[in-house]
Amino acid sequence: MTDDQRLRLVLWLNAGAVVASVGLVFGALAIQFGQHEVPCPLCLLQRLGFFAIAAGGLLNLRYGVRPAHYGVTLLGALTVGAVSLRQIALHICSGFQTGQCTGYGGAPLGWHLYTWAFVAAAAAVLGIALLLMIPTPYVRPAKASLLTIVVFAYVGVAAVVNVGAVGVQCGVGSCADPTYGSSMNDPSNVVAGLTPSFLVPTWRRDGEELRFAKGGGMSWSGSSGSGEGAAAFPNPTEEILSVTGGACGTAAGTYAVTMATSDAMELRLLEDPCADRAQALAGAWTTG
Amino acid sequence: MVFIFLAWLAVGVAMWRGWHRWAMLGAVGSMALTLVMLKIHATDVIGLCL
Repeated sequence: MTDDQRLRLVLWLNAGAVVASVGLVFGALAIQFGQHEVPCPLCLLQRLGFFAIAAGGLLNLRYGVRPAHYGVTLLGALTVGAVSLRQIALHICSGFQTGQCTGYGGAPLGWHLYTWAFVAAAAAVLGIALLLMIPTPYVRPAKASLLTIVVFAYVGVAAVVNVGAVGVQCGVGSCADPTYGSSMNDPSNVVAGLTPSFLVPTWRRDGEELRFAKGGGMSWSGSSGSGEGAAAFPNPTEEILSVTGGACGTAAGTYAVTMATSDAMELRLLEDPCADRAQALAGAWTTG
Repeated sequence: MVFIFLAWLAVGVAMWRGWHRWAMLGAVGSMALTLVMLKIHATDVIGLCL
C-alpha cells in the first residue's frame, strides 16, 4: 500500500468515525423527539463528548492527519467516559441516595479494584492523548474534498439542531433534571419547563380535557366543570400533584400521579380541600 | 448548557474557516467546560460506590 493509499484509507476511516459518533447524537435526538424523552443533563454532556470525538476526525479531514487531532478525539472519549460512568454509577448503586450502597470485594485505599482499574485506564488514555498532541509533520490538503464538505455539513446540521433543542429545553441556564420520570408527557416535566411547548400533550377522557403548562399553569374542561388552576409538585421523592385555584366542585386537591406509560396517566385523589365534592380530576387519562 | 453547544458550533466554524489554532484551543476549552458542567451536575461523583 502506497503512502497515498494509506492516507486515503485513514481519511475515510476518520470520516466514518465522525459519521458514527454524530450518528449516536442523531439517534439521541430521534429518541428525544420521536419518543418524547427528556434528555437529562448528563445525557446532554455525553452528546457534547461525541461532538468532541467527531472534532478530531474533522480536524484530520480538514487539515491533514496529525497526532494532535487524535488527541482531541481521545479527550472527547475521556469526556464521554467520565460522564457516562457517572450515570452508570447512579443506576447501579441502589443505595446511592441513602449512602448505604455496598460495592463488590475489598476496597484497598478506599476504592474498589474496579474503580482503580478504571482510573488506571483513564490515566493511560489521557497519557496517550497528551503524547499524540505533540506536533509532527503532516500533509495538509490543498482544498476541502467533497468527502470533507459532506461530513462537515452532516455534523453542522447535528450541532445546529442540538443548539436549538437544548435552548428550548434549558434556556440559557443549566438544565434541570427530570424529578420523577423521563417522559415529556409527564406533568411534572411540563410544569418544570422540560417539555417544549409544541410537545405539551392534552390529556383526555370521555370528552374531558386536561392540560398543564410550563410554570405551573393548568386548565381542565368537561362535564364536571372547567377552569384554570395552578399545579405544583411539592414532594421531592413521590410524584404528588397539588392543584390550587378553581372553586370547590372543580379540581382543587392533592393527587398521586402514576404514569402507566408515557401516554397513560392515573390521578388518585389524596386530599380534598372541599370534602363535599366529586373527585373531578381523579381517574385515568390518556394523550390519545 | 446551551453556551457549550454554541461553543462547539463556534469550534466547527473555526475549523471550516481554516483557523486551525483557534479550532484546537476551542475544542480543548469546550471540553474543559463540559467537564465543569459535569462537576456542577455531579458534585458527588467521587466517593459514592467507588
